[in-house]
Amino acid sequence: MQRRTFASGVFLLFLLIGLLPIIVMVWNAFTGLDMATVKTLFSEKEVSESFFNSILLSTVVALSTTFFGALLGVLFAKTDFTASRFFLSLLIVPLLIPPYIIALGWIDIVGVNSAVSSLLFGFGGTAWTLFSVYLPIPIVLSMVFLKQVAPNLEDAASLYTNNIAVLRSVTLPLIMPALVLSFLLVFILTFGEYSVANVLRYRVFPLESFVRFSAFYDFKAALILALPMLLVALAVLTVERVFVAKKLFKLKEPGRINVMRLQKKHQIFLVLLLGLVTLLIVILPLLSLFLRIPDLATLAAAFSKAWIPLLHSFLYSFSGAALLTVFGFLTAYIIAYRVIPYWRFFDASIVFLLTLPATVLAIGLILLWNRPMLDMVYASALVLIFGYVAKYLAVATKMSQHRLLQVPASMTEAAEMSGANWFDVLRYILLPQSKKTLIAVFAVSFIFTFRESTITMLVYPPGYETLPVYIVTQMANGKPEMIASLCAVMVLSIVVPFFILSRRRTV
Amino acid sequence: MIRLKKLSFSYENKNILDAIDLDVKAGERLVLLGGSGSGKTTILRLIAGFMAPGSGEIEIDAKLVSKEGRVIVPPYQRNVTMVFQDLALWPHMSVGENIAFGLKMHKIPAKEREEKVRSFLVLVGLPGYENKSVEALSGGEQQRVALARALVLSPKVVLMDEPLSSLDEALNQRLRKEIVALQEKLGFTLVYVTHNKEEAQEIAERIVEVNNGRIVERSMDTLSIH
Ligand SMILES: Nc1ncnc2c1ncn2[C@@H]1O[C@H](COP(=O)(O)OP(=O)(O)O)[C@@H](O)[C@H]1O
Ligand SMILES: [Mg+2]
Repeated sequence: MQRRTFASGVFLLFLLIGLLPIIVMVWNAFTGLDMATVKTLFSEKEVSESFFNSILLSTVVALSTTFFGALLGVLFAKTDFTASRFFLSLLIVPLLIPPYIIALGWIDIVGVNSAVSSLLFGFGGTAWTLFSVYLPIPIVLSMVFLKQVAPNLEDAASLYTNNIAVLRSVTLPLIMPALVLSFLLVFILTFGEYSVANVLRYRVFPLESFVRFSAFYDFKAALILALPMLLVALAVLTVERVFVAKKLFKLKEPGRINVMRLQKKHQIFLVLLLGLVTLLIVILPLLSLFLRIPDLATLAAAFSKAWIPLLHSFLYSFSGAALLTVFGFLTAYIIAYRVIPYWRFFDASIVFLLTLPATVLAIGLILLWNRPMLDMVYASALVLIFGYVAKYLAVATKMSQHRLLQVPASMTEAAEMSGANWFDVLRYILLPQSKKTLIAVFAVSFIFTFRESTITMLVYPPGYETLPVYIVTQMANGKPEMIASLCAVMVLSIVVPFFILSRRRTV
Repeated sequence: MIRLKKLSFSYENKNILDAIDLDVKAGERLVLLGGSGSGKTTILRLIAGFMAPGSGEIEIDAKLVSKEGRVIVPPYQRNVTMVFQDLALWPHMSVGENIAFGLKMHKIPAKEREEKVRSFLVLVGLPGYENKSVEALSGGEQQRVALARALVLSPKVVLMDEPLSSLDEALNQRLRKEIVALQEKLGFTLVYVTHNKEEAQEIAERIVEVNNGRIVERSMDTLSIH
């Protein structure tokens, strides 16, 4: 098969799974639209207020996580801090699980009617919870980029000034695009997240659309409310295109890096400080939730209720991650080697889907697939897996693309000169060199889909619920001990395998 | 000016330098000549203070700056600058910012910085290049920017690590002459690393050969030129 034909096939598949739902959604929103409805809808106080809330929340969470994440990234990647791995593993936990679990933990600590409840329920608690959830993103992103700063660039600067100034004037500016990327990513993830706000009763915009859709069955209103989210996603995409995509400096392959020595007293101080931080953002809420479980019998009872949803979770995440790994690699290849003339559009579209809040994507999926003939998709887990692939393809693709761009052109050229066609090059040169990356892509995709509750919540067919969704449905009337036990099952089933696997791999 | 005393260095049990002694006089042009992997870059990095010797001592300007396992004086207080083999120009800074960086770190006022940058760009033959991006320059131009960056602080010692190895022959020959002229004009002590004998002869007042972690003084005329 011709390379172009193959690539066009991949693109068409993407169109069907990812873009078509959005096109159908926009089409439906605009057909039969009368301005009066729009006006009344947007003049509702809840709507404008929640939009403002969402923007404020996303800005605050994105700024604070990026700032502290960069600091921690420097500590973990560029110093000889002895407890780096330990704290990194702990801090990453909130990102591995559905975010509302952290919120439930805090409700458990603070209580619904205590003196400080008003601090938790509303902006403060939501921002605090989402801070701990998304902090790992800038930490990991800045670590990855810091490890690729060529040491000579820092050495050259250290001829003129001290370590801290070198960090400030050379190292950090070089990874600035990664920091902007972190900011945008956290901004958009926060903007689309409604499960924490829902639990902590803070009015955010995606929730408005969600509520109109699932509680009032006001489909038209939900659709119209999805449009501003589309605009925010487009705005973020534009910023990404202008500031990140072009500005990435060519960094070197991971290898030797410069590491700063910390004095003993600083080591001790940092261990204490980070101990306090992890206690406050990770350990306390989870511990409090787990202490709610009275005995093993309750845990066992929870497990016997939860095992079918858990099995679903594993199955869908496994299929989703496998599909994402393959699809992401092919997409990365098409974009990195500019196989089709509209590769730029392809690239922008996958990023756009990531930036699109889950509610919008979910509504699109329902509109597209909820038709009598297409039942095999809509009435099965396929619709969920499509949703996962559409949402997270950008992550999978960018990881693979990062690796492919590091393979020197001469390597593939040499293969071509010895008679390899494009597929042989892909199969025998590029694929083997991306093996480690692809394992990482699979793991990351698995985690993202396993913890997913926002798309799943809206599109899961009856009888196909996943564990994160099952817990949400139980929250309304389940006993607190049971909810806590279910959360424990959830946390254990992802955190334990994650740690076993990550111990064998050096990040 | 620079004195290496019984200097040894190893990477994970692999001996790279084995008790070398070397004296470099003030204002001298010394060339370290040796094949690839012989330890030339390692010597420069030890003099610059990027790493500590396994054993032995380094003195610069009669002051102890490094000894066994310790960097006593950090690189930026040694009055030493370096031209790196891969140049290591900072891609996020313009030509002018690259050159001005050291001046800025030494708290030279902005006005004076601009003056200096301008005059050093003239000196290396790139007048008016201040605002260009370093990534847009040709190899030879980048080379000159790296030279200006190393010279602008008027250091006592300049280290050059195969600075011309990536250039074509004609440019290489031209820049050799310019480097010698600059050194004669400014009078810094030059430690110049190369694997090219012809280049060594043209630059050097004195040549030292690095081989298997040891160094041997070579008289200039015993070098055979291919
Ligand atoms: N970071 C490092 N880790 C381990 N070995 C190294 C490292 N850097 C250099 N070496 C080894 O030290 C020896 C000398 O290196 P170098 O001083 O760079 O040689 P030269 O500049 O003369 O080519 C080489 O054998 C090289 O493989
Ligand atoms: Mg070298």
